[in-house]
Amino acid sequence: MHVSDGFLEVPVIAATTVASVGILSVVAKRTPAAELASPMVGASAAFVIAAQMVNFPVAASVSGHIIGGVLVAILLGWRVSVLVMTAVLVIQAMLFQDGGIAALGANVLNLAIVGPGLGYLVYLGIRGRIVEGRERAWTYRDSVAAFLAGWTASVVAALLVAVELWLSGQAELKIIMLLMLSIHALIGIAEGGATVLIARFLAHQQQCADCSQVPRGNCS
Amino acid sequence: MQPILSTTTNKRGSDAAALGGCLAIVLVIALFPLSAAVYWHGLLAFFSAVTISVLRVPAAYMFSRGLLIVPGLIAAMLILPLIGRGETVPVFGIGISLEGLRRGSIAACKLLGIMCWLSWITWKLPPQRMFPAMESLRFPRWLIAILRSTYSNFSILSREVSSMRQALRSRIVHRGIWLIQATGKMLSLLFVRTRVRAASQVIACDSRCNVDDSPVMSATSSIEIENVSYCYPGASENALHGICLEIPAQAKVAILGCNGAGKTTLLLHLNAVFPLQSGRITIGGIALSKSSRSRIREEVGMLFQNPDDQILGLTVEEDVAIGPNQLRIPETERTARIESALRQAGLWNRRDQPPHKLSGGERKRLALAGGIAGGGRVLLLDEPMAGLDSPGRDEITVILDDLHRAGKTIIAATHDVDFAAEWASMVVVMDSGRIIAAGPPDMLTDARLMASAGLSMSRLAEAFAAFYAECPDVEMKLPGTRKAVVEWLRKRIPGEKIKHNRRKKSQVGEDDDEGDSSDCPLSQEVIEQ
Repeated sequence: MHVSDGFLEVPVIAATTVASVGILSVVAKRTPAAELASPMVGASAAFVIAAQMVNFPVAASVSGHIIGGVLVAILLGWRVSVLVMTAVLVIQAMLFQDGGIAALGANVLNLAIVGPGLGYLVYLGIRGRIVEGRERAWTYRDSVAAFLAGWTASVVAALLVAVELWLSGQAELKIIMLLMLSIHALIGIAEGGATVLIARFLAHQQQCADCSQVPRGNCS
Repeated sequence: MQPILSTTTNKRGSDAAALGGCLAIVLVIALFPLSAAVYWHGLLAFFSAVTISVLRVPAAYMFSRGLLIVPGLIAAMLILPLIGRGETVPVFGIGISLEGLRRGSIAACKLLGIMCWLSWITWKLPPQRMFPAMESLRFPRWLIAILRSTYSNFSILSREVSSMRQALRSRIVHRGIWLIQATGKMLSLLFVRTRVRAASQVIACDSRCNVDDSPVMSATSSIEIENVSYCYPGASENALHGICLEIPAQAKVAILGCNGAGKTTLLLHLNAVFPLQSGRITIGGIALSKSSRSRIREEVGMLFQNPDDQILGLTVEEDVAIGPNQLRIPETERTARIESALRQAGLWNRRDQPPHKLSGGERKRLALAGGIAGGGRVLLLDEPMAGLDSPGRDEITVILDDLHRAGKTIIAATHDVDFAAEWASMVVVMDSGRIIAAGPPDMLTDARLMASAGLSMSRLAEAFAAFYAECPDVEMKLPGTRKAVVEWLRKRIPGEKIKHNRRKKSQVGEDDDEGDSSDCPLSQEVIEQ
């Protein structure tokens, strides 16, 4: 899913970089400084990278891992998820060469901004509004919402990658769309499933008021 | 937070130049037009490989980095030729696009070239030098702050992931759906831990970083706590109920109690992390309030239960420097302070290491060194002995005794009665948010008091209690510490007998204890108990 260097033409790289930098700077500016530098963001980014190390068994000897953007958006909100996923992508590009350096803008746009963003919108749309401050159990509907959110995030990101590759003249739109969509519609199922599994379990755990106010140890 | 964390290193300028140069070259390779002929791209990759081999990056490291780009190479060389445009050539009945092949080769060349340069920079600059270099290159501050915190958390989390995976493998016998569910739960628990850790980091960061420079307070650092109560937000019951306590300066205080007795909550009050809800706390003559918070923190250092929560630096030295860097003291004094703290904690030889490479005991000592370097005269320790082996405990005890001799007041929250009995000069016993007794460590031999706090007596006292239970007519004064036991034995065994035994021991040999004590029924009995 990460676009490596050497696959995109310069104008596509320039356009995606400008879009990403613009959106990121707005998000960073809108986020209060205390929240921006809070350990929660760094810890969640570390969680995403660590969670990506854990492979989910999908079928016989095939395994995959979650991307996690939409999961973080569901748990902590879209704005935080943008920052978290950006940090994840920078570290992946520098340390693991997963995704290119010049293509970082494109990857941030696909995997940190648009993918999780649309996924989160789908989640909000299906789940409906929640009355603030009222305890509410995890329902069947929440599961459907989280699943479709994970699936959407995965498929939307794949679509964007396909369009970017097409604009760079790598292949015909039809072929590349078919390829990316067929693969990621399947991967999306795993992503959606993992998102439901984790979000649901955490919702059950959330019974203990607000973890951020408990100093230590009392939540697990 | 940035200026506190950053240390000035001589190499910073050259590191920044290396990082900037490397990124520039990487960008040139990445942005080299796709329309250029393949051999130009090949030449760039070749040039990169030659330069890197001149720069002597270890081959094993290059190989491990090379494995990372295998998926990219497969996508470039296999998929692009299959889906590419333009005229196709049949190979084994499959149409291979020539344009796709060209573009695939270009992408592969770029991947290889960039791999060379990124290997070099990640080999040359470990993260503790990478982040300062990024700062010099004016990367956005928020991004660096997030990356720093991501990196330090990641090293902790990856350790947790590997131990959780091992535990998972040992517990899940059946595979299939069970394994999937268990993996999901494991990831969820990882997230819960992440959140709890982040919350603890907020507290630790608050207690370590919000110090400002101000004149030192009065000469004595005695602590008075009057009627302090505290209720956690959203909790139905108070965590502390009207705590009253007076701690003299230079005392060694052990706060004892079960889990949830309120020990940590009380310590966090003394470090001004929790706001006072009711009552009054005076440290060294200064009443704790919002305005005096930073002065109090300068005076009071804290060691958290989990040292990972409070270690913020990228190297050992940088972490210890956090406290002194916030004080307006001369550079020479600052470095002297950092050095003496590192030497005292026995970490001087490991000062350049990243903290996550240290063992559990060393991380604890690093956290302690941070507290020492801050220069405060009060040190709060939350479960200092938890999770340490006996050499580790001895090391900490030696450091604590040194600090006490240097005039510090040390307050340790613990449920380790043996440690409290041996070490403390004053003991406070807590139960469900209340102080039920405070006084000299002798009182730890009071069986009824200990039982009411849910604690057991020290092992030595227990042994003596069992001994006395057999002869109820003897006076009931239990020795609870090693020193007291020696005194007790000395009183009861006539001096000549001890001398006689010593002589005998030197004749028989050190390891033959039984022959020794055969003519000393009392000590024999004690040993049996």
